[in-house]
Amino acid sequence: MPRLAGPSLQPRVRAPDRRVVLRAGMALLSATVLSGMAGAGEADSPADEVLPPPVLLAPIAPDPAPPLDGTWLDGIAPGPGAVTIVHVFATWCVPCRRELPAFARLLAGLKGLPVRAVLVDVAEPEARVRRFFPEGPPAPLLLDMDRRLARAFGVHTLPTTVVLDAAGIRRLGAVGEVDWDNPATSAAIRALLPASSDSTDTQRE
Amino acid sequence: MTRHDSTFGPRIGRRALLLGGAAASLAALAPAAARAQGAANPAQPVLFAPATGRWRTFQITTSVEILKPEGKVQVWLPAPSFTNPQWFKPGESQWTSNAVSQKLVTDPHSGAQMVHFVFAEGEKAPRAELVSRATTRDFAVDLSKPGPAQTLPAAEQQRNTRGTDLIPVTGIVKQTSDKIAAGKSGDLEKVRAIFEWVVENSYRNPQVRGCGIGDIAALLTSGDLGGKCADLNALFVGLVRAQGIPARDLYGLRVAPSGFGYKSLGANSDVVTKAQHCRAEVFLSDFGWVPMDPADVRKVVLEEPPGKLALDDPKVVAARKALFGGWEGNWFAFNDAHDVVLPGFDGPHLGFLMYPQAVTASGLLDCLDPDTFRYTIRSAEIAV
Repeated sequence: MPRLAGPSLQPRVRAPDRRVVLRAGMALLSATVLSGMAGAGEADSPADEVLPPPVLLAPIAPDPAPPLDGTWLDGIAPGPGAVTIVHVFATWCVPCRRELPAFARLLAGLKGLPVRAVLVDVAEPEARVRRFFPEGPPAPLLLDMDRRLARAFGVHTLPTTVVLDAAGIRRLGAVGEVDWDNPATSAAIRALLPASSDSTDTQRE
Repeated sequence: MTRHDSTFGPRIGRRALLLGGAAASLAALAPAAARAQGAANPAQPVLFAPATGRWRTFQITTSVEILKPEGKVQVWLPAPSFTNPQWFKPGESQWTSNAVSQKLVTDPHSGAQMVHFVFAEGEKAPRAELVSRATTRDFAVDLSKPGPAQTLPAAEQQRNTRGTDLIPVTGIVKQTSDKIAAGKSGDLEKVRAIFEWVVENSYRNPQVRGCGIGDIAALLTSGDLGGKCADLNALFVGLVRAQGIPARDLYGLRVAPSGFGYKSLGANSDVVTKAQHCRAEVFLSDFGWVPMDPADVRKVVLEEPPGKLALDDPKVVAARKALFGGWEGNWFAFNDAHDVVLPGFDGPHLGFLMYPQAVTASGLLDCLDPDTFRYTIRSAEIAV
């Protein structure tokens, strides 16, 4: 059984503080939403919630990752890649929702490189996930209805991100919202690419 | 006993009388002592202190429509199957629908009962209605007066001490439980320590990095003990089970206002579509099954007007004391089932069954999506 990520996913570097105060009543619905797969329940009281600042990806224990198998949304699985970004989230989770646009921008910036991304949605019905992405998700999406994959990755908090190298070894990770727009994030991912892969700048005329 | 009709609308016994919805019955239901206290000094809040009271019968009506049927449509509606003769007795259920198959089924693994509707492919407007009754009452155990020693049958003992998908009882759950119970002698004191620990340590932490994945081990590992009943009472049950003490989550609905005027602890309308609530019971050999609801203590803290009450607020103090050993009979139990398999559905099991469920060719439907799946639940008290 894979080792729990736990403290090894603690980011070592914090991005600049960008505190945002949100009305975040849904942030703590966890079991009611996830297990009931319904999400009704008693009306949650609104509460002012201060989300922590986004963090940077940081090195984690180099353990082999579990296989990325399961049900792919619309049957779309990722192609080959030298680096894999595994992003575990849920549509109801406030920090997850907040960071997805920036995550999509990062992927756009890495276009052309052998970097693939996999979104893992934890314990939500397919209908809800599809409705959340009316134009489709920014990356192939695994429906982890039974939490099997989240547990195999040792995920206890959403969102969690793990970056794998070409051999499927975990190299970088973060628990919580990642500062995807920070150049250091892109650089950390590019640094995992084989030397010949990340040559977009040097090949420019 | 259950039965079904070919037409919509529940059959009510001729002598049964609906009392006009939950809200209308508030005044009649307030315990005499509480009413007397409030009458003596209207400015004084009536503090929560349920005692074992008179039996009352409630009826809940769940109506479901599938607005975008695709392929084979199935619906599962939870039916009351939980029984505790001391305070909750499930009654008759009746159901109606335009399904080709409709029957009461029991998930053999979890024991959860539900009515399973299967609609013909091409049915343009699948709909179903379930009417269930149960009799319940306020119930409180005097924990200062131990009775003759009781034991659970071996199978019940095993069922109520084992781990489940959402409630593991090993690892961080066991470690946390052992820390809380260290130095406590006897099951009652261990359970009391766990109850108080959950009340004192569960909260909204504004600095947590994210959200739980829905099980209590993740809750503890994340350090964020925020949540609602399905999280906090599950945490309580898991920590108790980790001590080898039988405990169970009960899944159901609030169906009537609190007789003590606590808005946070009752259904304040006859529409109870969003009034799902789970409770917990712990088996103590000197007392039998004992009511426990630490999640509702936190609900009083958060929601009872004016909101965000301190733990030493008299309303909170009263609820904290009373919900360790008692509660009001304004709640309707479905089951105490975990890891529920929906018959006829090849998807993953549910952690618990408290909500209506439906599936079409597009997969499990989402009640958050009013364009595809709509349901309402109404409650009424019945005089029989």
